[in-house]
This record gives sequence, structure tokens and C-alpha cells, in this order.
Amino acid sequence: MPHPPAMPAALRLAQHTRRVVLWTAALALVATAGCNGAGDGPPMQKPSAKGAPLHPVTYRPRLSGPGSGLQTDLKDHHGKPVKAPCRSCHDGKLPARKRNTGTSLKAFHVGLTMQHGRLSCLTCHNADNYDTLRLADSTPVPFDDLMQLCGQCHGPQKRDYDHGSHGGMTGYWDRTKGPRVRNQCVHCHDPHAPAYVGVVPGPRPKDRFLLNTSGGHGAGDHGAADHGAADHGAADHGAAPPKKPATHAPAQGGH
Amino acid sequence: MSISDDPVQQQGGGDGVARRTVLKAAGATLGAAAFAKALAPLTTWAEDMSADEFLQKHYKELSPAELKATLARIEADTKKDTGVDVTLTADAPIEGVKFGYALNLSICIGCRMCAEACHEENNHDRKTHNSYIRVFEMDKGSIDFAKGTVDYVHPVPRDDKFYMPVQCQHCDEPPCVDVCPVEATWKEKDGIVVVDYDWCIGCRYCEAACPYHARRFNWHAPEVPAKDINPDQGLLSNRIRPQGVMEKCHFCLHRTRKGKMPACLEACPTGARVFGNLLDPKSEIRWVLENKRVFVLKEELGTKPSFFYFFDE
Ligand code: HEC
Ligand code: HEC
Ligand code: HEC
Ligand code: HEC
Repeated sequence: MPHPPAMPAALRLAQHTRRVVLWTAALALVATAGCNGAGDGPPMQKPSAKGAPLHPVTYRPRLSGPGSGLQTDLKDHHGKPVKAPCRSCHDGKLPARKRNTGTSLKAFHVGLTMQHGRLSCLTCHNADNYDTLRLADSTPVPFDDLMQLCGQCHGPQKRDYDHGSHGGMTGYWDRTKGPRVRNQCVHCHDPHAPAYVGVVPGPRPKDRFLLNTSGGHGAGDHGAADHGAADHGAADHGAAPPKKPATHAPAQGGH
Repeated sequence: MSISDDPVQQQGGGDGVARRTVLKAAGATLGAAAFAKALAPLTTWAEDMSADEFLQKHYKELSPAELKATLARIEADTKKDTGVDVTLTADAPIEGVKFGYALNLSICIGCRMCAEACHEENNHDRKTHNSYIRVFEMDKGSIDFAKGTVDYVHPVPRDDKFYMPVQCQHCDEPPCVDVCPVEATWKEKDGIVVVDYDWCIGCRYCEAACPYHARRFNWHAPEVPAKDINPDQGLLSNRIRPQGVMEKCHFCLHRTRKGKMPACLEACPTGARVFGNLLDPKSEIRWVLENKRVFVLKEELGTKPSFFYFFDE
């Protein structure tokens, strides 16, 4: 939009006058005719038929994550990064069952931070097959199906998640009209250090509400609309879900 | 002056009050000379506002054909003013749907991504960085949002604080609607409180009446660079507002009446927001109302918000 020059005072006054006129006019009319009210508006939309098919709920895919192995620096002849299956090293290597810290890792995976209760690595990782995870009852689960793994120890959050009140979503509230995409626990929580990471907030408002206040009411104030506060851009909002629902999500979500 | 539930009956089955009628009556009441004089400055800004726009009927009185013509006219005006092709819709409420919104205060971290998404979705003025949502940072243990701050810049969340986004609460007893002298704002059948930007006279009574400071006044017409204009627009929602009218959160009705989530919910990186149909017992919003201890802001005022807050146990 071309930025029009600020409206000259005279025009603003004119605009204002029009309002006063209309306002007075309306009051006068009500006073004299004693009637008001408008029509009913356009007819309501019909809801979808009962039992209409529901569009699916899918998990938002994870772009990183071990999936078929550990990311390496190598590229294959198509230029695609090479993943090393976890088993390429771990088969034949004795699992360290008691390990529960990142700092104890000296030979490999150095720098991994572990701040998740006192869980040992092999509470979640599967000593029989490092390319999978495991539930408490030893059932193996693939890396891209983590909801149950997390849910077994975090019942309340899993329940809330299943009822749409934890974990967020994008898409349709009315699934007769379109699909929905859900985040997975690890989109927001690093499994090794799951505390939600803070952020620098987005730009603050610069409206008149703020002019005479460190936060309280300012509704009566007539100042200029812009007080020119400095912009400070939104920092990296790591876990923000994508704006457009992803179309190629792998798994079918619950609910 | 009260708003009748059944306006047709109250006015005796007539066509309602067209602005023309108001003007004519006013002419008679105030005296033609005074009226003409008051209107005279209009000539200086005729370029800015077409006669059609000035004589635009109240939204609720538009016949389907008139509604279509209005949408087409505004689309064309927008194209002329901004060069942008927008699609303007006027989705009606859906039968059997009443919208409700809930926000989990245990989860919200005050990142303002919702306010930012609102800013972009709703073609808000870029210079003032307007948004229908304000996020209050408050001391733990108090829920008086008037004591909160909205202009914090430090990294969030802070341990001793919690964060409360506030937007229009879409009250069932909306004080803002009651005070409007011209019925330019009303509650739709799906619970959304809307503003007819063509009918609003900018008296700002509603702004003063709202206990949640949820209404915003367009001191200027919003200025949005053409490339940033959201072309998916609603007549009663995010189309570019004229100068001098009130506006407020409309639950993104151009999205939600098509079955989509509001922009602020999709943008929330923490998953603190829950939106849906209060009349559907299987909806997420109903689950929250039935299983969480929800509260509403300023309950004592009797405004009956459709917006709920809760903490996890
Ligand atoms: C290049 C070889 C290599 C690859 C590939 C590899 N690891 Fe390891 N991993 C090791 C070594 C060596 C240790 C022990 C490090 C130490 O003791 O300092 C280890 C330790 C671990 C541990 C701690 C428990 C234990 O048994 O020591 C876990 C859990 C683990 N790896 C998981 C994985 C997963 C999951 C993958 C695949 C995504 C993977 N590793 C891929 C070499 C590898
Ligand atoms: C709470 C369950 C849990 C525990 C405990 C756990 N991990 Fe993991 N780990 C996971 C999950 C889930 C992933 C997959 C992460 C993803 O998909 O992004 C993973 C991924 C990995 C990977 C693959 C590389 C990567 O970061 O993507 C390695 C290596 C690893 N874990 C090592 C360990 C070690 C070493 C420990 C103990 C110090 C440990 N894990 C403890 C759940 C756990
Ligand atoms: C075997 C049980 C177990 C599993 C599996 C598990 N957690 Fe945890 N989780 C815990 C325990 C124990 C704590 C620590 C509570 C504390 O520190 O008070 C915890 C804490 C957390 C916290 C709070 C962290 C904080 O610092 O506030 C989050 C978030 C979390 N887990 C997420 C996850 C996710 C995501 C997964 C799946 C990848 C997962 N958990 C899997 C047991 C588990
Ligand atoms: C969209 C992001 C998101 C997703 C997805 C998500 N969470 Fe959370 N979760 C949060 C936020 C934000 C918090 C609150 C953090 C805070 O208060 O600092 C939280 C808190 C938690 C806590 C800590 C509660 C406490 O009392 O400290 C646990 C445990 C948890 N989530 C588990 C899960 C599990 C399990 C899943 C998957 C079923 C999941 N989360 C999915 C964002 C998410």
C-alpha cells in the first residue's frame, strides 16, 4: 500500500464532523422516532451433515531426529547426508545400563546434555537394538513414534494432549472441513533436557494504551498513535509450528 | 437505548434504519441549514470516500445481492488503493456453533507470538504495531491484569511471573454492544461480537465500556505495505479498516467460519490455546471446561465471557 501522507488537520476535522453529525443524527432519530434495530443479517450457514467423514489428524513430521540413524558429516554420491545406523557401532558393544549423565560420555556423543530426572539412558533407548526406543514393558518403538514413550511417564500431559489442551495444533477446529496437524512432544521438549526453552519475546505493542502507563489502564488517553519505541525483532522461536499444515506427515495421530 | 433481540418486531416490520433515513430525519430535526453546514466539509474529502461508501447500508440489512455488490465494491476499492487483489468474504455464522476460547496460563510463556500473528493476519497498522491481543506479565499469585505490564522486553518466561494474553472476550452480555448509539456493533449468533466498519461513527463509547480494554480505535487508517497485506479478508473482520472506526478481535471469523483455527492459536509455539464449538460436547473446548478449573476475567461484572483461562493442577 502506498503510504499516504498524514491526513491534513482539516480533513481529520471533516471526518470528525461527519461522525458528530451522524452521531447526533442517530440520537435525534431515536429520540423522535423511538425506533431502532437492523435486519437479521444474512442467513446462517448449514453445519456439515451428521456423521460427515472427518479429515485426518497427522503428526507434524520431524525434520531432524535420528530416524534411520545418526547424522554424519559424510554425503553419499547424490549429495545426501549419510546416516550411520546406531547399530553400526552399538552391536557388539556392551550397553552401559547404569549411565544416566551426558558428562560421562567421553568416547562419543560428547556434549549431550542430560537433565531429565535421573533417568538412565536405557530407560528410553533399547539396549537390544539402538535404532529403536523402548517402553517400560520393553516393547520396542521406532524413533518417529514417541508419543507413547513420553506418555507412559507423563500421563496428565498425554491426557491433556489427547484432548487438545497441551501441545498445540494447526489446521481445522472443524474436521469435517479440513485436516489437523499436531506437534509431537519432542518438537517442544528435548528428550534429554525437556524443560521448555525460553525465548526473547516478539515486538511489544506501540499503541496509545502504553503511553501513560507502565502497564495499567490508558483508555482515555488522546495522544498520538505512535510513540516510536524501538523495534527489537523476534528472536529465534525454535519450536514454533509451521504456519501451513504440512501435507506429508507420516503417522496418524490420535483424536 | 437498548438493543432488541427482535429488531424487526420492535420497529414494526419495516426495513430498519438505513443511514439515509437517519440523515433525513436529522435534517428535519436539526434544521436543514445546520445539517448542510455540518456536512459541507465532506466535499474536501470526497475523494477519500465514495458516495456508495458513505451511503452503505447496515450490514444486517443487506440483501444477498447488495452484500455481493458491497464485497465487490470493497475488493475493487482495495485494488485501487493498494494494488492488491484481495478476496473479501462475508461468511455467516454456522448453525449449531457457538465459539469458545480457552487459554492455559500454566503453559503460556509470554512470547507474544499470538499478538504478532494477529498483527499480520488482520492487516494491522505496521507503524503502531497494533494487535487485538495484549500479553500481560504479572506477578505470580495475582490475577489483576490491570497491574500487569505489556511492554516487557526481557527474555521470557521469568520464574516469578506468569503471562496472560487478553483479547476480546466475546461476552454474552457485552457492555460495548449496549452502549453503541447506532448499533454498529453486535453479537452474532455464533457468539462473535462484530463491528460494521461502514456503520461505526467512531464515538468510542464501546472502547470506554469494555472492561477488558479489548477495543482499538483507528486514529489512522492502517498502513500496511502492499506485499504484507493478507488478501484473505472478511467484511466484518480483517479487511483494511477505514480511519476513525473501532475494531477488535473477531475470533478470525474469516477463518473460523470456514472451519479453521484462529491465527493466534496456530501461531502459539507453546500450545496454550484451545478453540472450538461450545455446543459440541465432544469438542476440545468442552473438555477443558469440564475437566479444568476455568475462570473468566472480571466475573463480578456479569459480562459472561466466551473466553476462559485455566491453570494446570
Ligand atoms: C560412531 C559410533 C556410534 C554411533 C553411530 C552411535 N553411537 Fe551411541 N555410543 C557410541 C559410543 C562409543 C558410546 C559410549 C561412549 C562413552 O562411553 O564415552 C555410545 C553411547 C551411547 C549411549 C549411552 C548408553 C551406552 O550404552 O553407553 C546411548 C543411549 C547411545 N550411544 C545411543 C545411540 C543412538 C540412539 C545412536 C543412533 C542414533 C547411536 N548411539 C549411534 C558410539 C556410537
Ligand atoms: C526420556 C527418554 C530418553 C532418555 C532417558 C535418553 N534418551 Fe536419548 N533419545 C531419546 C529420544 C526420544 C531421542 C530421539 C530424539 C529426536 O527424535 O529428536 C533420542 C536420541 C538420542 C540420540 C541420537 C542423537 C540425537 O541427539 O538425535 C543419542 C545419541 C542419544 N539419544 C543418547 C542418549 C544418551 C547417551 C542418554 C543418557 C545419557 C540418553 N540418550 C537418554 C530419548 C531418551
Ligand atoms: C521413565 C519415565 C519418563 C519418560 C519415559 C519420560 N519422562 Fe519426562 N520426566 C520424568 C521424570 C522423572 C521427570 C523429572 C521430574 C522432576 O525433575 O521433578 C521428568 C520431567 C519432564 C519434564 C519437565 C522438565 C522440567 O525441567 O520442568 C518434561 C517437559 C518432560 N519430562 C518431557 C518428557 C518427554 C517429552 C518425554 C518423551 C521423550 C519424556 N518426558 C519421557 C520421567 C519420564
Ligand atoms: C507445542 C509445544 C509442546 C508440545 C508439543 C508438548 N509440550 Fe509439554 N509443555 C509445553 C510448555 C510450553 C510447557 C510449560 C513449560 C513452562 O512452564 O515453562 C510444557 C510442560 C510440560 C511438562 C512439565 C509440566 C510441569 O509441571 O512442569 C511435561 C511433563 C510435558 N510438558 C510433557 C509433554 C508431553 C508428554 C508431550 C507430548 C504428549 C508434550 N509435553 C508436548 C509445550 C509443549
